[in-house]
Amino acid sequence: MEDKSNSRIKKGKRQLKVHFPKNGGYRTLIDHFKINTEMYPTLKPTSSSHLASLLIETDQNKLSFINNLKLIDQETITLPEENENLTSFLKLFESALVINDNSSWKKKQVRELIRKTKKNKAPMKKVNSLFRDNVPTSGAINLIQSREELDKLFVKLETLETLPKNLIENNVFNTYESCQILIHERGKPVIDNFIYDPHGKLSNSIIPVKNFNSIYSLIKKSKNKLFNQSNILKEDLGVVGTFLAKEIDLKNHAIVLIISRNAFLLPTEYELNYFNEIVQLLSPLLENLLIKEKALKKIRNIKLTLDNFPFPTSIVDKGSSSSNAIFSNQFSSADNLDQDYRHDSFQINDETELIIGRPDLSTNSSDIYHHQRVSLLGELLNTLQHELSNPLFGLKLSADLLKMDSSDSEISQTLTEVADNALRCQTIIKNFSYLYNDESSLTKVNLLNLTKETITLTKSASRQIPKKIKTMGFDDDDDYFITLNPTWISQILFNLIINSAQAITLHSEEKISQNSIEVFLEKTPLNINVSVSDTGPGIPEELIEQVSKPFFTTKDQGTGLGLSICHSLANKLGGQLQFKNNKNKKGTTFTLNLPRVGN
Amino acid sequence: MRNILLIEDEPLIQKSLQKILEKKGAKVSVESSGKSAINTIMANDFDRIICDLMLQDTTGFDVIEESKKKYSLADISKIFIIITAYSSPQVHEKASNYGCKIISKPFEDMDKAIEAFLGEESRQ
Repeated sequence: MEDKSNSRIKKGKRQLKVHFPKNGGYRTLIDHFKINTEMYPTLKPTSSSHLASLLIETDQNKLSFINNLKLIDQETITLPEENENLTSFLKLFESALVINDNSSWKKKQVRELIRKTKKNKAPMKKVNSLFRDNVPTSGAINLIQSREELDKLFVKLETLETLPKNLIENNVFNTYESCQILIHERGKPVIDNFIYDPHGKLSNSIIPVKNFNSIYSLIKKSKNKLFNQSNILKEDLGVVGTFLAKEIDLKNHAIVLIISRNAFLLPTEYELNYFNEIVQLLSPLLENLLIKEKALKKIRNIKLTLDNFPFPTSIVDKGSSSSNAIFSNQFSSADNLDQDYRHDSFQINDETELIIGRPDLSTNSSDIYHHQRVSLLGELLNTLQHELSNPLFGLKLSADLLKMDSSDSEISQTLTEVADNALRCQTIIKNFSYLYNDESSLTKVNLLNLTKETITLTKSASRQIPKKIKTMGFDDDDDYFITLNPTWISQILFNLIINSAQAITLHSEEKISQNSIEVFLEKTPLNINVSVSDTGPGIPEELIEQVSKPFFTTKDQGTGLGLSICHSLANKLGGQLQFKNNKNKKGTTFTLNLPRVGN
Repeated sequence: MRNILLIEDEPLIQKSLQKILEKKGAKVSVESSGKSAINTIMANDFDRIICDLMLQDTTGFDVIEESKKKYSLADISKIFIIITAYSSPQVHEKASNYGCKIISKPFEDMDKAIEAFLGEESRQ
């Protein structure tokens, strides 16, 4: 070689991008330059010149082989394949690497070298920058080797979670070991974090938004998208060493995609550009995937809600489509239509409406709890009555029999008492059976007797409390007969007396026996009024509206349904139930007003 | 002398009622089960059959049905008196289909009941 210049070997750098074709003089180069391949794990033959990954640098005639981004502007030199040419080539090569002040002459040398290696290859494109302002330039598409490669990547992508794995499996990134994707749904406080690690395992974690935001803005600011872990030293990054990262800005999401060799070798320019391009092309696909996943999640949540509601429920979802989707649970089937339901609808948000059906207590269909309680007790009393009735009758008959034989007046009298008491037992049972008549039938009952019997039933709760019955407006004993459903009246009375008794027992400041409960039966031209009043603590002002609501209770035990049942029974009787706290004395008075209709 | 058949499965009632009626001068036979009662009815003639509704094996109505093989409906309404603790409207209705009298247990008016059992207004 002519060496016109002063060939001073300076300290400095001279870079050449070298491509080793698959069957080329790779080994020769290695041997010639005595390259320690362990130090350069990426030094290997590649099929395409685009994928040339080696950069040779001289520093005081010492050669080192590294990767360097700036080489993007460099033309690539391909080592010849045949051995004979290789040696001369290498000599050329070596000299080309010598730094000289007259760089123009050296450039000529390099060009010469390149020309020698070009053969019949098409001129390679100079790629300065593939992206300007995030918009791919015309040269970009060429990086993607083939349409098939691209399709392969996209087709496999069913959910976002599989993206890291698919990227790693791509040819370009086959030296890469881990890939991480962070997905932030705007407005949510947490981030979905998927890491595909070198062992082939996909792990998922949730990280707070704060961490994500700092990573995101750093990545966004960076121009070349190449990072070193020291830039962003965060525990949430599943990569080690240098990595490529790109942010994706979608309508409802912000995504960060990170890929790394987990080593300290820098990615090549090619890899960087390929990465950027892939991400660019992926963005609309990711957007669609996310929308789809969100819709599926919403449907799953709707179904879960419906399955757990114990009464007929429907959810109307307006969503993004023009028609409404209606989801109903199993209670809304036609089988339930024979029960009366009221429908309440609630607007949950702009898209979703909740419709709940609940049993209509104000119709003729019985209140479920009341019905159950009554029918069980009714059964009990029925059985009791029939079982006891025969022996009691037998007792009476036997006593009567003895009476017939006896001439002794004292014996006769005693036997009469036996007979009478046996009869009395039977009457008691019979009367109580009337109280729990299941059918909503009208019976003529003696209100006063019914009241007395009901009070007897409350004995266990009201034992120590003195009770009295007052009446007004009834002419004679017969006047107490009214036609109504005795079960309902006695149930209301029973509940009211029990409530009063409990109020006194639990909250009275004085001794229990100094309180009292009074039942007042009043007949007016228009109504028959039944009142229960007590001397307990009364109902606090703020609770007055609430006490009649179902399930409201201030007690530890009980269902909280007592008063609401009383109200619905009062309605069924055609009357109404009211209450107020007693003005002068303590306590509360509940009044059941029953309009007289032919009574 | 009245020939009475008492069909009642409660032992104390059976015994006491039988004794009471016998003291009043009637001849009282007793049966505890519907099946044996039917046999007895077929084999004998009674002026009065007092029949409890709830028997162990059958109901009083079944006994009456079977008795139709021997007696006309008119006779059935005269001979049978039903006694029962279950005096619901349905029972009364069914009894009226046979034209029989029903007396509820316990007897509100003992004397009236006994009179009905012994009742002079039977046949003829």
